[in-house]
Amino acid sequence: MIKASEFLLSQNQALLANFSELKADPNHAKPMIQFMKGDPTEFGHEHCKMSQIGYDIVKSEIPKSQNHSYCHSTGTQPAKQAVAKHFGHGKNITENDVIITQGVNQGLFYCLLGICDPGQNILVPEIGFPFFDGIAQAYQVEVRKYKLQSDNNWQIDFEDLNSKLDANTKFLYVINPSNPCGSVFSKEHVQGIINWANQNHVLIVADEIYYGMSFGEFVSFGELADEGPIICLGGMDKIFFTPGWQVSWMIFYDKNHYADAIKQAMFNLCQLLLHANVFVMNSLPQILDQLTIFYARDRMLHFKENHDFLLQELNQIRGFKCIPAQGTIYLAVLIDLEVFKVKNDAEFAKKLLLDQNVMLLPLSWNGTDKYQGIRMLTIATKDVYIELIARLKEFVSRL
Amino acid sequence: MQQVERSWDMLKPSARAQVSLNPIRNWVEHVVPQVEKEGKKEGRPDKKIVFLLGDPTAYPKFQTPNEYKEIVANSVGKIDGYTDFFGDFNVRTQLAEVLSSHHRKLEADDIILASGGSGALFYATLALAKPGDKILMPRPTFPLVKAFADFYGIQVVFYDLNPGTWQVNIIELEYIYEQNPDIKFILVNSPSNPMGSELSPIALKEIVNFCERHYLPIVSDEIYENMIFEKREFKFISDYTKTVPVLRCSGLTKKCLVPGWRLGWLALYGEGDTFKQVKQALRNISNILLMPNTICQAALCQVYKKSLDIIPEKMEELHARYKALHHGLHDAYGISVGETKGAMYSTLIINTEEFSDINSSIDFARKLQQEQNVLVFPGELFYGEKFVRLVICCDLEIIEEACLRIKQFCLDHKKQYLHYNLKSVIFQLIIIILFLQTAKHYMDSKTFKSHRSKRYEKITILERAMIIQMKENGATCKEISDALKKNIKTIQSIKSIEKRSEYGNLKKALVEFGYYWVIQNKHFNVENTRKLAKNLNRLIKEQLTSKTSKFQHLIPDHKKQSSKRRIIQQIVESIIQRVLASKHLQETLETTNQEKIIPKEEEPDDQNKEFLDIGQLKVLQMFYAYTQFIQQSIQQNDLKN
Repeated sequence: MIKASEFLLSQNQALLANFSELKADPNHAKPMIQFMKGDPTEFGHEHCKMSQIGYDIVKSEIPKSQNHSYCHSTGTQPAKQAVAKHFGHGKNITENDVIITQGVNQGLFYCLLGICDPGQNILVPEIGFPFFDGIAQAYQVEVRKYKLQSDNNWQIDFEDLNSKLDANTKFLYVINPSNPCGSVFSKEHVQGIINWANQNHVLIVADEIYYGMSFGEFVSFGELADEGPIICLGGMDKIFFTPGWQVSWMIFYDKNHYADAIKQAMFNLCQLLLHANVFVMNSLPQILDQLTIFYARDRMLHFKENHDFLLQELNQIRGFKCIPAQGTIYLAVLIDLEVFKVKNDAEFAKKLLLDQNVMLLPLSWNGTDKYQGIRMLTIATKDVYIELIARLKEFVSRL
Repeated sequence: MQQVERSWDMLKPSARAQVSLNPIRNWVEHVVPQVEKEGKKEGRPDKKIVFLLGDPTAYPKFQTPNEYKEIVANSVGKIDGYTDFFGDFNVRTQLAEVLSSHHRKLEADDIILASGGSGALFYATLALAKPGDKILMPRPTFPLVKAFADFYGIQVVFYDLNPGTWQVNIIELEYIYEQNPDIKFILVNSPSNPMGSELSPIALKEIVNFCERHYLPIVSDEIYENMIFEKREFKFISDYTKTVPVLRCSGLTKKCLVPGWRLGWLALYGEGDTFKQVKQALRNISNILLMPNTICQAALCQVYKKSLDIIPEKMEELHARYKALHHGLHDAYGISVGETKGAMYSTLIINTEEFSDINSSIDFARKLQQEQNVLVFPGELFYGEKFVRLVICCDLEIIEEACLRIKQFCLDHKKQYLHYNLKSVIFQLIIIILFLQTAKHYMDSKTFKSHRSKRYEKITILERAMIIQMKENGATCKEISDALKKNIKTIQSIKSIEKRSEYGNLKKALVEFGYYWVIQNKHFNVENTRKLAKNLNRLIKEQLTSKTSKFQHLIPDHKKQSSKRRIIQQIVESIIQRVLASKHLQETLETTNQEKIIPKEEEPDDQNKEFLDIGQLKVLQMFYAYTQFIQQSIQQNDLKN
């Protein structure tokens, strides 16, 4: 056996080991219900799908010969211009402020590599998509968890945030709307965060992959950007229900040019892994024009319906307590360990899987040990949820 | 609240991301415009001829075939969501089937889809090497893996390819391995960017054997797989081994003329659970960067299969271009076209000594742009020297036009020699040879030795250490001799002692290599030393001929030309002695009933032709020169009469 590099072996290892422990019984009497991946297309619901218009746009770009060539490593000009136009929010954003990445993950990867040196730290929400948890250590960057208030729409606790900040802090990572909480910050709270960052001279990296996916109001960090620099990450991934296409973006809102050197560093990094798929990138201008940036927001009704149904049903089952979401495709459900006679949510997930062949993501796998629960997805069809509730009820009754 | 001193000035990028990472993009984006600004020569042709970026679709004849476009258009809407981060299971299953060879059956698990060939190389590099580790790379090379390595603080050790043929110098590999036994993998790239060369089956076998001896995995960059001029089946390095683990990195990019798709893969060829840990590492990184675009994934296998039909006709086009280039420049001054067997590149080998004002390939590239409006990449971008890379995808007429311009350019920079007439040159030669011959006799005599000792002054051990130290600090011999008040010869001699010891290492390495070579090649009739010597002689000679070879650098200048044969002879004799004394061999000999060893004195006379000693060689040269001289003077006399 060849020895692999410890550098890669150490990355994400804990998280993936967790996943490999969740093994289903292939001979289970009941068919599997699985809610692991945050992939809105998984259940093939007609409302959670790219529009035919979008497909036709891509098909119309394919015959053009220039759409199969290499392009600038930060993306094609039309794509960058389109992103600048639709997400500029009147902040004078040009194509030079935009990088097209292959998925938002790549943008996060570049933020870590391009901004942080060994020994520095980043502020990451305690409970949130655990991208940095698995890999920052390999780059000798410390991940500092700041508190979100579960009883206050998962808003940031500034007092706690202050205590985590020091001279070596490189950026504040926020996820809004949030995976896995489904929370959406109010305009006041976004403004509050920006004010805090300006006061403390902290760069904000805002993960807005669920841009606009709110049941009500949504305000982008880009919209309120003023004094200090903000990097917003977004993509076609969720807002057009095409995570597989791997066309996402990174926008620099930085009117005072405080982060120009960082932007240049990102350009350099792009030369390593190069650009995204060209014909999809060049479809982006038309897709954004025709389907608008609110394509997903306009289809939130479906998720809201499921969200409300789950909220109502789950809260009635002993041991479950939902924390209502304001958007996205997620719903955080806390569990009472004593009721289920388990020592943590991972054990709960295993037990549920064995008993009912239902696979759910433990909340503690989202970079926290404070919250014990599961992340529900609101992407499936009603019949799946009716079946799910029945199985959960059966599970509880057997305890 | 804790007081924290912070300001916007603290917003700095990480140290490693501050340098431009890709020399090739840097040349195109910065140097070319800069050179243009610095001034073009008057009368420069208006039409720009660009041989720069390796994007075939930038040229009319190599645009994405409609067949591929149709396939991919039909894939739109098939997969929108996440696939496995390794790539869609069905796609991997199909690809595994396509990539299975006669002796290795691949499964979906052995395939990892990535973002282009560069993504695959990124994965492979990081999966095998961590910061601080060493990896072995060819030189010249496509600089991407070097960029990854630099970024992550992985140390790169180069092995030089023989200029022109671009084959592997296996003895140098052995030598490098001996110096760096902690190497994590060897990178192989065939057909090659930037040279358009292909490694011969012998070279591939030698690499495989080398890796087998040292348990070294191979990372094979096969982005140009199947792209060869010859009409035959393409052989992969994994075809030559069942035991050496090979990570084959490839993609649709070049062979299917779709660089914009960004679809590549990594295929793992290895026995049993060879790759168990590596797969784990790859799973980790693909969880970070996710899978490549799913529309293209869905089209992958169909396009790949289709390409097997389309590639040969495209290669015929490329071959025609190479032939035109070769023909167009066969009589060019000071340059030659490197051997090209595939991919879409060719090289011009530059003999800088023949030019008056061109000292490097960077010089060549810049001046060619300024004077002839022909844009090429200098070899330095590929960590090589004295060559430039050409992308040969442009139309034939353009290549013909470029050849004319390049030829003119070479003539414009031709070095001007003083004109001797032939007669005087030969006469001087004879004088020199005669002088050398006398000097040799003189050297042999004792009088010379006593004379010589006067020229070198005695130095103490302390002084010697001091001189070495000063030399290491970059002081010239002249400076040291002034400082220490010793004559300069003495100072120079210290250097030569050092060189001699390096040279001793070289000989040792060669002997070691030759010994293993004999042991490995069991079919040799070891008892027949004459035949063995002949083979060894050829082997060692091959290793010493390469000009850029690391070994070559170690040979002291005064030994370089004249006594090569003697060096080789010494080495060969040492190897044979070692082989004959080897216990390992004695054991195998006992079981086989081979011929007796032929004693040296009974060897046939023609043996001497193989090992002509230096004295005999000089006498022959002198005799030859003398007869030439006589013949010519007779001819001239005849003419006069």
